[in-house]
Amino acid sequence: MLDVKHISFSWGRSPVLDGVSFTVSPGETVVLAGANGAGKTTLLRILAGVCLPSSGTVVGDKVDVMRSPLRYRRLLGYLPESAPVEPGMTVKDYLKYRANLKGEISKKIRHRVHEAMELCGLTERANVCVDVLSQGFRKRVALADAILLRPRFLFLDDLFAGLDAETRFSVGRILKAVSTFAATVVSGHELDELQGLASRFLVLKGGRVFVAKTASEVRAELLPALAGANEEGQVSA
Amino acid sequence: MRSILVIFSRTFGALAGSLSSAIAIAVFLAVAGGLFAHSLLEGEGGLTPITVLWAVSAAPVLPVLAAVLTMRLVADERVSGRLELLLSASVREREIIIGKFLGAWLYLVLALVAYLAVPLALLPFAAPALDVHMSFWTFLPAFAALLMQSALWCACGVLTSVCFRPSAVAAVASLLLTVVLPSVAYQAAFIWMRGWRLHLSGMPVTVHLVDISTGLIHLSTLAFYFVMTVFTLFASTKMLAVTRLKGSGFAGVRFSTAVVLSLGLVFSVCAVVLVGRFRVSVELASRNGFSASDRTRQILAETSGETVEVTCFLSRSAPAYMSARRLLRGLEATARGIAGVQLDVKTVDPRWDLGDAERLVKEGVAEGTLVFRRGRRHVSVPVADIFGVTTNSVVEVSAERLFEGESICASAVQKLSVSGGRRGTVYFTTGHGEWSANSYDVQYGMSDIARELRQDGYRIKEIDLPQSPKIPDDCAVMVVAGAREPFSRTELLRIDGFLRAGGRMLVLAAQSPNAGVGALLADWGVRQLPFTAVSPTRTFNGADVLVSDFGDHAVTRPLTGCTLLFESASVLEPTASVGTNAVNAAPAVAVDRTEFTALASTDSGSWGEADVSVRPWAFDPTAEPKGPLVLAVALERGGGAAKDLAFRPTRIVVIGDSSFAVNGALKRRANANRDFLLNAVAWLAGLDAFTESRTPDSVVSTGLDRAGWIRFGLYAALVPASAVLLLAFAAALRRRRLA
Repeated sequence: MLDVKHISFSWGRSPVLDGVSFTVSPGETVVLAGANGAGKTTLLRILAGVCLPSSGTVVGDKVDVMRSPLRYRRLLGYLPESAPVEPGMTVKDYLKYRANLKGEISKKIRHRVHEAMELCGLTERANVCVDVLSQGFRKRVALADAILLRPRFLFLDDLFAGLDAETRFSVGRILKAVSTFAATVVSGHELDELQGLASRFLVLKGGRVFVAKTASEVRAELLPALAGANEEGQVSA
Repeated sequence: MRSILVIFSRTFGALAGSLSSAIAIAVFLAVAGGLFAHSLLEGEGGLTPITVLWAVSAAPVLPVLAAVLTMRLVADERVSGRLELLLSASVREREIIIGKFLGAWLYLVLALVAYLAVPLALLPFAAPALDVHMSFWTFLPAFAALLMQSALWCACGVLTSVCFRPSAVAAVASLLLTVVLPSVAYQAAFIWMRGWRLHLSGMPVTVHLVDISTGLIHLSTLAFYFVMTVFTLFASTKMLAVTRLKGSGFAGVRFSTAVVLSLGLVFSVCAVVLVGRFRVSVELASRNGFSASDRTRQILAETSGETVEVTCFLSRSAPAYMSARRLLRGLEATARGIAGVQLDVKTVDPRWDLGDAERLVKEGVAEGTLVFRRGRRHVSVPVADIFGVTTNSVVEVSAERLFEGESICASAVQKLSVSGGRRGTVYFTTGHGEWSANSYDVQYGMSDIARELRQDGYRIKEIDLPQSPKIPDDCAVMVVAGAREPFSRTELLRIDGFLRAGGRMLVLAAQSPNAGVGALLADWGVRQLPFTAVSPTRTFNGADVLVSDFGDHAVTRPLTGCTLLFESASVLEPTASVGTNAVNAAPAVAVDRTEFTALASTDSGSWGEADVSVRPWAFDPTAEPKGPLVLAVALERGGGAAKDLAFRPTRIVVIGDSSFAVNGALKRRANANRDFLLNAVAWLAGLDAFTESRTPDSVVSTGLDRAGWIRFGLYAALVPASAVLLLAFAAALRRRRLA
């Protein structure tokens, strides 16, 4: 279980996160929603151990991110917003490199890479250089990297950004498969598509977090802050 | 450890697969190879080892290459977002830094290995006559020195790449950190911290390179590179860790990091200073193999009797101490192997051996002196004379200096064995634009040769002929060095009288035949022609002339196989009334005739150029004399009669190049000019002890002509660089096919 307590973070004098607390159980998928600049990416970075909070604790399976950062980071998979991949490598080589870097034992690497590629629909492109892949497939590669070692916690930032409808559907299926072994926190603006995956929504507003069950509740919560919620239901503050 | 290996192999792979990195290495190889070819050309005939030339040529380019290769290591990852992935993985910051550092460093090492091919593969190919033994082991110390430097530059590059987001800014900061800041700090310390000058004299990185390349390894140098590299990597790790502290509220942590880094820097500096206090150094075998010159061996062999006690009155902390001790120990060992005089070397440190130091001071011996003592006589040689303490108190310990030191010490031993210790007085004329014996100027001074003459037992004085009523009786040799204005008739008559009475004169003739004592020389049997000797094949820079053809004479006999260097020499020829003893002519000796001996002649491919200001030079068979041309002559009148009548013969030596023995000419290359001049003075003074060639075995001699130099320069600059580019393009093509 992921236990987040009283997380605070600020840039200068303006607070981004102000005492954010929530828990995520194994197998649960939580969608982080909020206007641009609400602090979704910052919160996910904190959860992934990339940034440290000004105050508060993040504990995953009783491992504190501040006290045992290495042990904590071994439990998670992280997909940053820009979904970066190492240039000049094939998909398979890249995933092997990432598995090695994450400390997977050598015997299991091939199996892990094969499993991740199969899950993300990359088997046919295993020997293709990542430089020539489309944005959608790069995202799949980055997602394969995040789920490579079957992490206990999965943090996916702006998962559906830049993906077409078909790819979103595919990625949604991958996420459903992954949720069997991971507690997942996903951020994004595509509330309707994410509703099918989400156990619940966490809405970030004014540095604080509010719980919502449906996309409509999220919109209702965010509406005063949203000047231009579009007709497709996408939140674009 | 595994994470380090993974990041290392990824970093190295990325650099190896990057076309821009290959171009950077190619540029490095081209520039360093070109610089090496140029320094080899400049060092031709010099005593600076090829290994030093090789290392010093790469040193200025190495920080630039390190900056280019490392600038993107972290900065690019930060911009592309890959750094987030790295920081979210179960990898420590130090593992990331070490892995990236090792990857970049190994790539740099490969560049140095490719650069090593220039002297090991290309130079022997381009210069088959190269007479220096070269192998990987010869270059190992120099290579190791460059490895240490490159490690530090790479670490600095990693640090700036962590600190700055744009990679170009990181590269500029890296160059500031590795090149500009140390130079400015060093110069500033030199200007404002006068008391620290001697301590700082060993600081410049080129000094480290020269020392290690020649086999002298100070523990403090190793400690400096190791500690500073480790500290820089530590600082990089801390700075990377700080990137996790992005928001506000971490001011305390950031401050504590700054304090830790400051303390780390202080600790590192203290550690280096502490190691330096122990003064531990290792001399590799090649450096221990002291090889005395033939002249030194001869002097030691010919000097017999009581042991010469040599006292090195020098502080052990003095920068020249190690070199002086090495020199004296080498001489001591050489003397032990020769059945001549024995040397007993001991050191008196003014800070520790107080009793001996007080005794020496009471005798009037200053600190920083080598004292050669035999019985009640002693000769003092200031260490500054050997190792050239400049105005900045920087001790310049080069191969040339050590070799000069050996020569000076041998002369000191010789002086102790010469009764009276004096060989006569050499007068340098003044007042006609002559070079001064007291001037240290490189172009116009002759202080070096004057010092050599003093060391050999001569008194050196100057004489202003217009002001002097007569030439002093104690004048053993009169030297007219490069007089640019003609002597007056009165002066010429006075010199003529001096010569007719058995006087001796050495003339270094200026370009104009009418300058100096040209008119008098014509009467005595030699004429200076209005042609400048040029040789398309026997030359270093096209304008100078190398001469190895010597006449059979006491002055040149010991110089067989050596080379004289004439920067700009006038052609000499005998006047009709004298007999000749030129290189290929039979001697013609008579009591009342002047015996003319061509001491040095150019090769047959040379000619006398009428107007050197018009290029290109071309031989005009109708108006210009063809080689061999005479550039130095010895005249003797009364030589035959002297044997029977105890008549003191007149002797004159004329050298057609006024710059033949100026300070710059003697220092520039290891030529035999110095020995030639000393022998000429010895012959003029009527002494029989002549100087053997003192050219040591380690002289750099490639045997390349001008075309050969150009060819080698092109090879050195282009071949390794082209090979790297070809490999890179092949790899890029392969990748494109894969894509």
